Amino acid sequence: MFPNDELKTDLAHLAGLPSAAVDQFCTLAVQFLKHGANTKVFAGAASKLGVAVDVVEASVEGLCFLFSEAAKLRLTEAEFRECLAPMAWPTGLQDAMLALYLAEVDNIRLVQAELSMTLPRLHHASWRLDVQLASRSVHSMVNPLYYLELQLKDAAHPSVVLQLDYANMKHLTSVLEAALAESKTPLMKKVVRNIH
Amino acid sequence: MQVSDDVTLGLSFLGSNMITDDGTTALVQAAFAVLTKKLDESAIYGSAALGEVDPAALKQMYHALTAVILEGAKRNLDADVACAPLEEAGVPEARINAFSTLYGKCLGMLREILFSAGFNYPHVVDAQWRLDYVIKDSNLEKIDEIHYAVALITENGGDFEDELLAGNPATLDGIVKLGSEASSSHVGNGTGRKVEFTCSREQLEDLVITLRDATKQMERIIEDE
Repeated sequence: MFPNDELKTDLAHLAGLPSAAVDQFCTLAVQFLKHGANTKVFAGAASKLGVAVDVVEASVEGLCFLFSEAAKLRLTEAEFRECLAPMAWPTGLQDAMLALYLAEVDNIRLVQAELSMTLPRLHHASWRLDVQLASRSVHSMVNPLYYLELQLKDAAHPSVVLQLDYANMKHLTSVLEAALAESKTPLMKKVVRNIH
Repeated sequence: MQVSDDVTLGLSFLGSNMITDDGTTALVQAAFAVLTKKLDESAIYGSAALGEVDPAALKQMYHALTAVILEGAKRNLDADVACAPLEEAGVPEARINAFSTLYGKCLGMLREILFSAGFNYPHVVDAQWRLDYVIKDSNLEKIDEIHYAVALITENGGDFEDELLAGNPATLDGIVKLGSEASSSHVGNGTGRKVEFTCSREQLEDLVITLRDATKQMERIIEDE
């Protein structure tokens, strides 16, 4: 269940801290999620706020968990509030937390998406139209050719150059147009509506 | 057409009495058959029709013929222009006619074969696609995205030879209708690699617009002409 008891314990300290400190913890938590954890700052923050290091650590880690789980589930505003309710925090703190969550949820999800498995993804496509006039073994010909460069987000083949003749270009275009049309069929809409 | 001394020598043998008229016809047919991949070279040296010709001279004649044929095909010369070296070497007209008739028939196919001897980027011949709706993954819930997987199927050039050789091997006797059944395809046997990628619907829309634009450009050029 989310939020679980461990998270509640970790975040219990926040209610007793000045709001400036909570703000700072939240900022730290979001930064950790986006750029990786930096535990060196814990000692500095603890001495500045006059609290124990492990309290700072537990709070920031708890917040990291809270934000990442909430982002993973893509909680709505109401759901996020509901999830904060058991903490019995002052309304001001809850509002600040919610505002931060809503501002950062998309960024956190982007980071999480990067951690997921990815297939080679199309990045950019460009083309060129040439006419081949001769080669070493054949002179005086007229052979129109398209070159198509696909830039992919794929470590093994970051870009690939292909060629097509006119007939294949037309064929490829019509095949992909058919693919595109399929995303607008009633079935697709039904699936999207029911899963969403 | 400039030819080397070796070729001139071979052609002069072809016009001499070292070989009969029938022998010349057989050799010319065989040379075209070999170059259009219908026949193996060994058929020439084992042929009964050419058995009485001195093997060294036969080799010289065969070499000269192939040189003239390939040079003519490379430059897309007309049959009468391609025959000029034979005339200059004093080959009798009857023998030249056997050459020029076959040359005219085979020129298109010869050029296709020569074309396939070039190199090219993987040639896209077809595409497969799949439409997915991404629900969630190990790190994210409620992804809810439309996702396309596209595979472009490519062929590499230079496979024409294998394709022809894989067909039925012919003999010297069965090659008279040569050239009439020339295949129009100069692409290979479909062993090229697949280029696979995924994209969102918006990206696929962009790609289709890009490709449609490319197609339009070609149509515009054709119309202008």
